[in-house]
Amino acid sequence: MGYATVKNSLCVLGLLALLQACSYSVIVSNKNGVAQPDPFRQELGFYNLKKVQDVKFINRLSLLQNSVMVIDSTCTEGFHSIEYKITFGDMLRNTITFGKRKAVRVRIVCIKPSNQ
Amino acid sequence: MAQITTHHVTDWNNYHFNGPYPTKCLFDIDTNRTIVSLIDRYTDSASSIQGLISDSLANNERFRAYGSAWSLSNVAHQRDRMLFNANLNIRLEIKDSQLHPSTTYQSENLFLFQCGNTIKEISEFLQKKGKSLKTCGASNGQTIAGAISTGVHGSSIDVGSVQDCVVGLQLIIGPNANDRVYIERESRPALSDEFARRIQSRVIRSDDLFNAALVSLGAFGVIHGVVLEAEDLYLLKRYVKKISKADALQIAATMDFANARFKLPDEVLPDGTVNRPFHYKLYINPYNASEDFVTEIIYKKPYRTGYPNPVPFVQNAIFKDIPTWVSAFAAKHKRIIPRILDALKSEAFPKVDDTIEGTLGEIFWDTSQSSAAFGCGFGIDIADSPKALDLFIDLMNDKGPIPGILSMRFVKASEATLGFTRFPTTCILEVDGVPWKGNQNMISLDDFLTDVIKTFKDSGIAFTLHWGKNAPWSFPNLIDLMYGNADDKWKDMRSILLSKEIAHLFSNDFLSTVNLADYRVNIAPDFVALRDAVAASVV
Repeated sequence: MGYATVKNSLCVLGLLALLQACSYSVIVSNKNGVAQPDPFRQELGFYNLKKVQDVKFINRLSLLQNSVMVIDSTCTEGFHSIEYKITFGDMLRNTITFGKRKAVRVRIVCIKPSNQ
Repeated sequence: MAQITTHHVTDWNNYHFNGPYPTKCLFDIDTNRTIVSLIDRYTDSASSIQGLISDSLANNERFRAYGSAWSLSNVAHQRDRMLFNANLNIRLEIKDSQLHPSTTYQSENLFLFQCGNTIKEISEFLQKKGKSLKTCGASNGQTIAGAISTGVHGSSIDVGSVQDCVVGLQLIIGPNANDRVYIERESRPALSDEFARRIQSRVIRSDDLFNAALVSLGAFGVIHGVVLEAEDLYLLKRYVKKISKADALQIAATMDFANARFKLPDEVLPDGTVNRPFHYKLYINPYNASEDFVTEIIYKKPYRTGYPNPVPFVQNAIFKDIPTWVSAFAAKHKRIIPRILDALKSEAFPKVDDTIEGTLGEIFWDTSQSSAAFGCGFGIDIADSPKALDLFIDLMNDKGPIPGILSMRFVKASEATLGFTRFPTTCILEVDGVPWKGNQNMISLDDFLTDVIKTFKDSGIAFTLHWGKNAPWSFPNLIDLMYGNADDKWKDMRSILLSKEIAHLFSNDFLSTVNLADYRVNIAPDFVALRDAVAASVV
């Protein structure tokens, strides 16, 4: 492998790392309530054995609109947690469309329904 | 009928990723929420579970219910059919009219919880009633049925374990109408026969049977409902201090806080006497045992509103957030383990000099983990605890190092026949960490724990092991070594309650490994009358 190839690969890796660093997410978790369980969702971390709903879409806003609202009807007893994620591409899209194309990437966990 | 979804699967794993284990079928059950009456909805769930038991018997398949899958051992696993019951979370308040005529319990403190209620759900429900659990497992994710049947404990030095707050159990022990039983102590009855009939159960009042069924390891049938005694809501004030090893172990060996060298100035009364803590826990770095111990001391206080939210601070005290790569790296380069643990001390131990206040449910709030985990808990008489700690630390240094830290908690004896907190005050000497694969360079976890057992045995230290944690469960004569004849009584009680066919249905690999699965046709003469009474009882 030549010097140039190694150099290019490192540049690509560096760029990917930079882009990855530009993506981030925040989890807002409810102090109260228990997450709706999912016996089949096995993954290390916060979502282990929790029932998860992913909401992903790109919203096109009209000239007079300036925000996006996601209406969820599945959590009958409230949210256990909401994770909002934004990627470098999402930020870029928002910028070049002057805020009129917004990507929504939300992960929702509902509170486990009580038997009342 | 309750909603049941059947999933044909090939394996199953627990919450802490100690498997996977082979399994054929998993049932996911939820209550029928169209039934308005909660008690009718509750009995409907029981009928649906009996339908699954009937089908399992017809197909010669064994059956086991589980909830949060929090046990690190394979006690919750069943090769054939498993019932996921976490959605069965009905809660019922007990009314005065439902009490037994000669009970000493107050109805306002008694609640019936269906098996899938987690400790957190119970704490939140009770808080709305101005009540609290008496103790918990210092975490909140276990379901009540799982917690009691494996002996989950905190470090409540004068209270006991979760199962010690149970005053009644409803078990499903077969497919027929007479196979729902409500069991409570004869010496401390709680609920009336009429209440038992309302939940379509026959009543059995026997201290021996109740104490055996408390820590049942899932072998006494499906625990469908648990009657708990709660108490008035209280606050816990948590201090984290560094205490010299000598002072910390002086308390550990005696639980005598009144005459201890270490005293918290804020908990010394004007007359010089000291308050007795609710909870005492030592965190120990085994690779630098000369340093002072980080010590968590919690006092019970009257409830008041307006205290600062403690939850953001309790999150700091979670060791399990150490990533898996640490253990993989450590297994290859074991000499650096002490340095890694030293560097991660701030993650593994609570922050020293933090003082927070909150309810039981807040102080022991949610935990999550970013890696698989192992944990092993040895129960020891407190008098032996300093010696046992020294032996354990020596082994960790001689045979290891291994990627884990030590802690010591202290719990009052349980009345449960196979409660592993069986000493007057039991010290639970725990090692927790991230699992690794043994190799030529590093001893395996199983081999290490086997060495600990041999060392304790040779040193004359009586011990038990936490049922829901990792241990070399196939160690020869382990149960006799730990429990003497108590396991014989437990087997007798199981054989009194269940038929041979049903006992087989509720057995699993774990029970076979520890020699608790066998059925006794000939029980001890002392229990023949009880067997006849149980056989004669009807709904």
